[in-house]
Amino acid sequence: MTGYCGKLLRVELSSGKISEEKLDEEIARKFLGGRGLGAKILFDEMPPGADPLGPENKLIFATGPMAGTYLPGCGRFAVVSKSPATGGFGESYSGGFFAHELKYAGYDAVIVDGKSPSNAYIDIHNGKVEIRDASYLTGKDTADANKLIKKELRDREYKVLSIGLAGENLVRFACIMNDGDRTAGRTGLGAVMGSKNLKAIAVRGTGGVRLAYPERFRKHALSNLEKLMKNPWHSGAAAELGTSGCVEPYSAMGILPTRYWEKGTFEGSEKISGLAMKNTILLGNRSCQACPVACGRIVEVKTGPFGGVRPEYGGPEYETIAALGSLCENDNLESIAMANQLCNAYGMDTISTGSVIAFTMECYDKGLITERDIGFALEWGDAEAIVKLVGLIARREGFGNILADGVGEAASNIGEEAIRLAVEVRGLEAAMHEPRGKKGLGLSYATAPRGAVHTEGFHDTHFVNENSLPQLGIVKAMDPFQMEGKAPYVRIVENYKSFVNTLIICSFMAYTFAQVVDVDDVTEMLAAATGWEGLSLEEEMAIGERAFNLARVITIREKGGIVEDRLPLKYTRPLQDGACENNTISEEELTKGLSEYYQARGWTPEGIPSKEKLAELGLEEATMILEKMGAYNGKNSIHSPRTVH
Amino acid sequence: MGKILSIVPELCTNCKMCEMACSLIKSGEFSPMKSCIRVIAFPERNSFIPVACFQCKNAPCIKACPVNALFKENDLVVLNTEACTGCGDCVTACPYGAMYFDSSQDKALKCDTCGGDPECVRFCNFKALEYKDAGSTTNTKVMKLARNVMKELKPCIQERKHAI
Repeated sequence: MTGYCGKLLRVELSSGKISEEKLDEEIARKFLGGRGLGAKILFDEMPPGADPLGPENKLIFATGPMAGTYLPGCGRFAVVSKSPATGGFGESYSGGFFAHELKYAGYDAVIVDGKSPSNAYIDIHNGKVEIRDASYLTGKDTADANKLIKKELRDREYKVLSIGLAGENLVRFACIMNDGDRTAGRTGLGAVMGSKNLKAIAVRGTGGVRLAYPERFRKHALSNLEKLMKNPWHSGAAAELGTSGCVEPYSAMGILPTRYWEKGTFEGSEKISGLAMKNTILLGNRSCQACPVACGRIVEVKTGPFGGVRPEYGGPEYETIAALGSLCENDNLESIAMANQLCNAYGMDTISTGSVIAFTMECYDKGLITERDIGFALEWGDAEAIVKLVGLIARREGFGNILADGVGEAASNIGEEAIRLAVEVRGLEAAMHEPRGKKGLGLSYATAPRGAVHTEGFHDTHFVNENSLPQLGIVKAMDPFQMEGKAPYVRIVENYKSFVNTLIICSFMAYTFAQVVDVDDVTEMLAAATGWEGLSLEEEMAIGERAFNLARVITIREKGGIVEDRLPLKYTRPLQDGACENNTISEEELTKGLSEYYQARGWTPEGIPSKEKLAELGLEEATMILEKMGAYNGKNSIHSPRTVH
Repeated sequence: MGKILSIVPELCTNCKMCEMACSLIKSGEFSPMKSCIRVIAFPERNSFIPVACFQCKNAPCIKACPVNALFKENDLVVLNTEACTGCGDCVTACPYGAMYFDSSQDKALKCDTCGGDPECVRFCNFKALEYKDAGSTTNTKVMKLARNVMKELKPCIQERKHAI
């Protein structure tokens, strides 16, 4: 095989058994890599109903055929597992340099299961794989652990994924850190690693990746680079401000989540904007492997109440700034940088962390909890309290322990009124994009296999004009405030994005910012690498749709055959300010939108992937499972906005 | 006058396109161990240093080579790969860590500016790498940086010959 290594690595932590197996080319063509390959393995191998924090859960690190090459943005991998936050399909993606290194070491993916009897890390050095003692790393911050591992293994070129105290403490939204400043953030996969007593995975590869047609690949890589550099974001703003450049425009558009989703504009947005960062704490920017854009931030805060922010942990990007900033009505950028560093050191998802803190602020504001409950006052915008809470959550200390299991659990703990305020879907705190201002995104939030994520693809603000995405056949101008009629387009974009997440490429190269979608060069590069004949956009969309459906089936299976597509109750209430003032997504609107979406997707009226659709995608084994669970009996969906039970 | 690679580390973002571009054009596969340019990364210092042969006027590697496989031609330090015996003395001699070693061939490995059309320059999006007249180049700063870094990482240099 070319492009691929053709090899999977298996590590069983309970027994310590390490083995390799061949990657079947048929499976590769059908599921590609990343999300697709991860979903296939998880579906086939994890026993249904497994405890996400138990030894039977699988933790799959999947690259794809492009990692190791210079297809712009290909330095990326997926982590797939059953999520302890949602109880369903869990996945997260990360850039950095790990994917390339794993391919150079000779593996397309690593499949981990079991539980190590004591704290351990996996050392992959080309074909030599060992499980090593990590007891001396217990409790260490992620960057410190990485340094010590590279020192122990005497090679600074190792690439290391690690968890911090949050993962070790099974914080429900603990993440996997990737060499300090990159992360596989969402769905609590750091807790899965912690539950397996797996502190880190270190990889060193000195081999290479071969292509079927190098000349052809090179030609299309250069063409792709040229196209990317014609785009204003990729050729300038990305390096200058990264995604932090979104803060002010979003506030102006009324879609910057503020005051725990009560508002869409933030008075302090100027102080926490990308430009503010550039003029104060920004040291520079950096790339992931094979990235011509370099959107990563590097910041430093030497003095002051939030002094001690170092370059190695990177700097806050948009989601972090919103979650720990506007969502909490916090306009102190240095505190956001410090909170970001703490989240990276402890290994916690910044979106979920900021969300639970902002949720707590609202509960406090409404008198549902008091200073006595928390241990200190928690007014909106209290920067020091935010930083303090991050530590308490990671260490599961005091009130931090209540928040460490996510906003849903925290709300249940506090009471009925709190449950009505919680913003999450199936246990995943919503990302920092306002569906009441982008209603197509609302459909994604409700239906995405892993919960309320913004990265399934559809952002309505990209489609206000005609001819926005001709490469995928979307030419109609659409109103962001309307959900009706959007479903077919949401499906198209989600399918392509799902392909991008199986290939894998950074979505900023393929599709997200300002519409750079280079279908042709990407297809050519995939064909030139693998040597596959007859590869087309149709096949790529099918690969994406297949992975999406399989991920959804896994979620449905793990939830006992129940479909839980819904939105938080808060989204039925009007935004209080800004350009989207008074917007809501009513229960009726959502029900109608979902009905259209299920139809567009070829699912049953209850949202179960139909037998016909699954047959079309070659997923007959999924049909069998759904049938056995009685999922097709027409009784199994919950899609009203969250109400109190 | 010949042209050589001009390296500005302040503009490097650690994307490693140069390593991949070089290894692909030279060896037909993507493999940093076959690249004649490598980026040394210090993320904690916000510093990334691409290192490739600086085509020294008084090259220590030429002096070190026992079989005269290295010589100066048109402002470039040229490696005669056929004559190379794989002793590794040039690797040790280079104070900048710019002489590499291909263990699969048992030969030294160095930048030859791709015969006048450097591939790494083509793929660097950040202008950290340029192709300039040997006289006008500003490599003094990066050479000093590389020299200091090599002193710091000295134990690795001897190991690099036996990297695989």
